[in-house]
Amino acid sequence: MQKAQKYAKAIMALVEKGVPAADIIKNLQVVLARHGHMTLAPRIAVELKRLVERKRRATEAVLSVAREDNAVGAPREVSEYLAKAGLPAGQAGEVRTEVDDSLIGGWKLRAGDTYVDASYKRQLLTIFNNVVGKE
Amino acid sequence: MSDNVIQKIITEIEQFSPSTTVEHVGRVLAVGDGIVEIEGLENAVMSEVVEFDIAEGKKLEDAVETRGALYGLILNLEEDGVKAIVLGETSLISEGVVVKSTGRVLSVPVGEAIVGRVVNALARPIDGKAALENAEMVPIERESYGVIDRKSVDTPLQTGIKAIDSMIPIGRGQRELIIGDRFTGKTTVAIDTILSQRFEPEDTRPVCIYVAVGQKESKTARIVAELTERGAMEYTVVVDAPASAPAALQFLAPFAGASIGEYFMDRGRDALVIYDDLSKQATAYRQLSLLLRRPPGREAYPGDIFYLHSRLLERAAKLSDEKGGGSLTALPIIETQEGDVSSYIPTNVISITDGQIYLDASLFNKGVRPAIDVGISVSRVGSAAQTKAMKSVAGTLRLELAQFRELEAFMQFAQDLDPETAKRIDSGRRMVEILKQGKHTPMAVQTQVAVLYAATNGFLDDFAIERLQEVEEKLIGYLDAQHKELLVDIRKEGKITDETKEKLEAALKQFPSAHPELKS
Repeated sequence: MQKAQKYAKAIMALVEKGVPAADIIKNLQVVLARHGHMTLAPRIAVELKRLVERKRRATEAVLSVAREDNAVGAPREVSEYLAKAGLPAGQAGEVRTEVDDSLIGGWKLRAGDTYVDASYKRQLLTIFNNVVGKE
Repeated sequence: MSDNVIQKIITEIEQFSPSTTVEHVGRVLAVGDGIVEIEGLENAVMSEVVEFDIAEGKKLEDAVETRGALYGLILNLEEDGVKAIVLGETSLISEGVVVKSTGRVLSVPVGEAIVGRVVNALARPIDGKAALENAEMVPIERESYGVIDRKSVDTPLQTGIKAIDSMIPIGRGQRELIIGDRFTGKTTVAIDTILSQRFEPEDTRPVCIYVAVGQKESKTARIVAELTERGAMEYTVVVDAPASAPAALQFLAPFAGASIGEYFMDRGRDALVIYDDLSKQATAYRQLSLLLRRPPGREAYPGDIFYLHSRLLERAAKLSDEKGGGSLTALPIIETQEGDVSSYIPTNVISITDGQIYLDASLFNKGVRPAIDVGISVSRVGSAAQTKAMKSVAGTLRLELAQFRELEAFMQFAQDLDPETAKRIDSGRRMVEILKQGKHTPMAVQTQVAVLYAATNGFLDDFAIERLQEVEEKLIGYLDAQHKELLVDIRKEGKITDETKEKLEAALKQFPSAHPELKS
């Protein structure tokens, strides 16, 4: 593992422990200076951003729909799948909705590493691949 | 669009039942040089195939353009994610692309229909012909057969090359390394071996698999054209992972070749697989390992480079009768640098195989072709499979040639030679001349026996050394035309009986009078 990654992981662990951000930054500067690692600071910031993004992705659920009005009446199936993914169904606050017009219709859900693609695009592609594959 | 196609589409749409399943996915964190770093996929296992959803975020029409699914193979399981090699076009993958587990190990489609085809490292046809029908998916890596399932090598695999079949015989199920510098005729030996199989009866003819790793496309195209022209593609499969292919495919191609060979071996048939060459596979594996940040060892190869080759070559086997009696013979090729057989990869593969055929650049440049150095070439198990006929004519050949090489070196300093030494040198020169053989002119075993019998028993001593190639050509023509039944007998009996010997000697005695012009 690279040094910057290790620093970023240590910072994340401190944040999760509840250490105030100001203290972490102040002490980090001292530690970096003491070890001659000040040049790593920009890289540590990138790694930290990556870790935060990774953590966010691991916990949030994203529902993609083809059009905005689809999201309002999100199908009941989505709730069922949310339950399967270990997330409480119907808590709209935990599900981020985004519009992806390439889906044509239907929906697509990603919660942690669980993925459900019920979009029309996927189904049309499956038909296409089946037909072409058999030729 | 033809009615047939329209009907197919209608049927597909009618029968289509949309199913939505929960999948476990990861996401691409970084991609470069054929290696993908993936976050997630917590349940992934080593060597599992993953699928990259390259259609994600693309409009349907664009997704259709890239319809071929893109797969990867997991090679590193790490704390926060996994690392995989891409089995295709890396440029289609971008950061954030969804990666799905497939729960299966890498497999290739194999069936009878693969014979005669040119396929890529994943056994997908690349010869522009139809898709493989009735193919069965077989894993490209599997454990080799154990001791109980095997038996000793007992059937010869004729290469059609006199120097090899007489002095370095290869048995079916053996692993014989072909080693030498560049441009010493390594591929030619391999291709001649494939061509030579046309002399075998169809029911016992081995299925040949030629695996081209890191070769120029033009070279492979030439080989395919040669095999096609001589009718050898009828029993050959060419697996091509050219120099332009990603390192991942060059690393996997030999394993795909072994799986194709095993398919036939498991069905009680004989197969021959040629890995051309394993030096390039080792280089591709080194590249992948370094990119996967595995610790480099000697010559920057990873620690498991020996295991890479041993697990591949151990798959060659002669199966017991209970297992069907099939065999898979392996002829790996290794390219040396400046004739150095003691470098890392050559010594590894020499120690794994059952012998080696060493091709010497200086012999090649002197015009001795095939440029086999008999002194350091050896076959550790093949002699058990050599036919009695060949054994009887080639018994002392190897020793005589080795002695000749020594005398030849000594002769450079000697002024006068005693008659005995002069005779030995003359006989050695004749033998070297007789063992010369043109490119892509393999010889049936019975013809080899007859020619070597003539040479070792003094029937060709009256001809000038410079004309021996011509004499041999005429002798073969003479025997084929006037004593065909003699050659058939040698082939059928597998040995030289007293009766055959008598007939053969009579024929050889008559030969000079049949071609008086050769003595002038």
